[in-house]
Amino acid sequence: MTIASVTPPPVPKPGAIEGEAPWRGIVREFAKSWTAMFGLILLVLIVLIAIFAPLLSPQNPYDLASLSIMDNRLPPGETGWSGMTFVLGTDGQGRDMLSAIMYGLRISLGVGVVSCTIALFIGLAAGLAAAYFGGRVDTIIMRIVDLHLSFPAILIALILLAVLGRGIDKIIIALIVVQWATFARTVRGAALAERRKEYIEAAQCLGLPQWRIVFGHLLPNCMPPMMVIFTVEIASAIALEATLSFLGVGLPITQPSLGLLISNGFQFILSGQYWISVYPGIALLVLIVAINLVGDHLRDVLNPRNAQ
Amino acid sequence: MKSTIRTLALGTALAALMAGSPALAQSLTVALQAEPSSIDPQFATTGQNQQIALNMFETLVTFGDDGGFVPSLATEWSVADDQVTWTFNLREGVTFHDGSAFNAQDVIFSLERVPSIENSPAPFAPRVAVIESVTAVDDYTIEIVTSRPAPTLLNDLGTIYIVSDEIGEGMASDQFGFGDAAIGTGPYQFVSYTPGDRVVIARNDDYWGEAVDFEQIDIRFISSDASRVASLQAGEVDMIDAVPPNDLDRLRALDGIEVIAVASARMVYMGFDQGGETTPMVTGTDANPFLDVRVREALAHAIDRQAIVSRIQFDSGEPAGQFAPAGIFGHDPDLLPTEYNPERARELLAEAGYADGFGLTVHGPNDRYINDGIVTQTVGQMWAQVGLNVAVETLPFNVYSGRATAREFSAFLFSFGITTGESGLGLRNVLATYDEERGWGANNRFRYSNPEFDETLAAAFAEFDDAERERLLQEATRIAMDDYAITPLYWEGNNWAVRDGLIFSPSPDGRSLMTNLSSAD
Repeated sequence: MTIASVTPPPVPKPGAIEGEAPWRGIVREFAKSWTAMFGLILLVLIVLIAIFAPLLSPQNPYDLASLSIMDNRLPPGETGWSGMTFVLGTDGQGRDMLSAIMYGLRISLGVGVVSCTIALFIGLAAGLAAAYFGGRVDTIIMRIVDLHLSFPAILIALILLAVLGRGIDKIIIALIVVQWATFARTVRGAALAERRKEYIEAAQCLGLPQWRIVFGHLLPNCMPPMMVIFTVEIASAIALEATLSFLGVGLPITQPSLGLLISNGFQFILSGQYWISVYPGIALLVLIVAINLVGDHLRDVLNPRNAQ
Repeated sequence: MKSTIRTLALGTALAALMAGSPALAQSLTVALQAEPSSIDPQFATTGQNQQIALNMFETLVTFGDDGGFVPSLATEWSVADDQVTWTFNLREGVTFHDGSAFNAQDVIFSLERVPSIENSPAPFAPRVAVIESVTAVDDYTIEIVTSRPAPTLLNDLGTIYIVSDEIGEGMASDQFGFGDAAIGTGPYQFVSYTPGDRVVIARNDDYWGEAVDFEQIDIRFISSDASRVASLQAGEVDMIDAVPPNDLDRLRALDGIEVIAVASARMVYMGFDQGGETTPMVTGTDANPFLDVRVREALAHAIDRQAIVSRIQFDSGEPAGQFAPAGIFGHDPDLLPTEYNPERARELLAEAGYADGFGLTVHGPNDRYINDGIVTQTVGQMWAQVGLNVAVETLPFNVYSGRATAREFSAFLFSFGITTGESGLGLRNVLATYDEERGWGANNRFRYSNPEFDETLAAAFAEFDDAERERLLQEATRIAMDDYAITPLYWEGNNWAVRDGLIFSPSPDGRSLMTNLSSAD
């Protein structure tokens, strides 16, 4: 009986073909689902719109001097006094809705990605430390996380913003504080499972320094679930930012994000001026659905249990 | 299917027709936005208390539509040559709602009760502080002696309600809600009060003046704008107040509902920090640009007031060029709103050395006045269009007012509502040089100061002759407006909606008084 015979046959990565880089298999598997591809195309489109908003949009909605109050609340398709046609109408301030939505997407995506990335790093560090060191470190970190997760996210964010005040930097801070715990808990779970595996033991036997084991061996093997959580959390960060803006504690009023646009239009909706609220609402919905479609399918692809 | 729709349409039309004739009914239901904090008329000077009290209680004198005084429970009055002794002849034959006769003892009791009211958030006491003694010469004549010459005594007495001395000393304000203490002389009498829900009043058949049209009115309190409007549309109530401007156009277009929108005496203005060599919210220059009158004038010219009123306030309200609107004592018909002239604004800014503008953060509240957040942004927008580099920040009023009073802002939106029927108090609180000891300039958050203005205003406050006093108030107003001390924007609108068959004629104080409501038939 040789050692080799006890080793279980390697689990084939989904769709993997012998001698091929593993990511190509993931991509091929991902491409099999048309809903996921649809979501991805939508998402790429939205990201492009957000990045190139200043070039694409007919008006700079954040430049007060380019707005005119004489153009406010124009229905979609109407032409203003300056001769500009407002495809999606204007808001109570005379802002072109199409431009405002493009810039709003920029803020929403930017806030979501930046806050989630930072929260991911904080969560990774805390979760890995908890899993690797175990014992008292684990208890302290995970009790803080438990405590954190027992409060509703919106409540924590509201209190923070009430203290910090308004502004894009403040809302990013609030979102980081709200989200790091989710990442920490997920990475700890993944890392605990990995830590008991033989390659970690082997690395320890080789006398490798702890930082190298944690970052060189443990971390890369925890990444797949983190990528899934990351995409889903971006969607929830965007939704949370929109909620906070809707409640009037988020971004400054002259730089409306999607949530603030919806909130501003809310007071006009009973008067029949639906476009001020409805179009930013649709944009927000499409953005969140697209991210979730991609995130959901990514989870299916990366989950080894789903592999046939 | 088609016929069903037709039947439905017919039914709706019929229902609308039938709902359109409430005046046949002798009792009404109205919905007001704000609930009083007490039924005791002497408890607080706040508008929501007074608009309930005024239906049931009366004062010695009232304010006429032209800003003058009109006899009410007092028929005649005069002041002696010593300028401190006032004599009032009281109206005979007036009875209280409980049947007891009104006489000099009730007036003395009422005036003496005012300072004894406890825990009032907005007490009447300062308004009678100048009174040294009140004595009854006979049953229908009283003499009031003031501690110093007080030309505005009538303005103050015009707000003090006369209650019956039958209720006795020490009657607590919250006892009024149960009915045995809410006894006045007014055209309506108290029936019941359900806190958080409604006050019911009924016609006083023994009223000395002209009888009112309705037997009973249920005054409901519905603070949610949307619910109030919906109740009117559904026919649950016959009149609502504080119609949100965003709904005005929609209600105007409805059959069977009439909208009444008039400018109130609440003037919304922009203040400029003139208190020091530097100012916190300006960038791009070391100096405080607002110390230069040309800059203040330029920014006044840059604002299109008519556009704000028509585009943001839905034609409710009126562009303002001074403190008091027409109909308020001290209004100057020759003072017009500053002309909208962006070219002139740019010229003036260039003359003052700001051809390239400067950076400015404009501040305003976002939950206090009608559409205040949008107005603040629009002012910022109009200033950006004449070359300033503008940012706008709007805050909840409870945070905002504290920071404004702490003088953390450079250019900010505020308002002052005249409730005493004349411009003097507004001028004194907002534009007089800030002086804590003297109590002047209490709301002068931007520290405008002109000794000439202060002197003219002080002269007005010491003047007994009404014509001369009005002239002095107008002159003081003109001095401040020539200085562009503030930039008046508009008088906020008051909006009501009634069902067809009812007539609501608002008085200059802008209150939702049931005595202003009558039947069209």
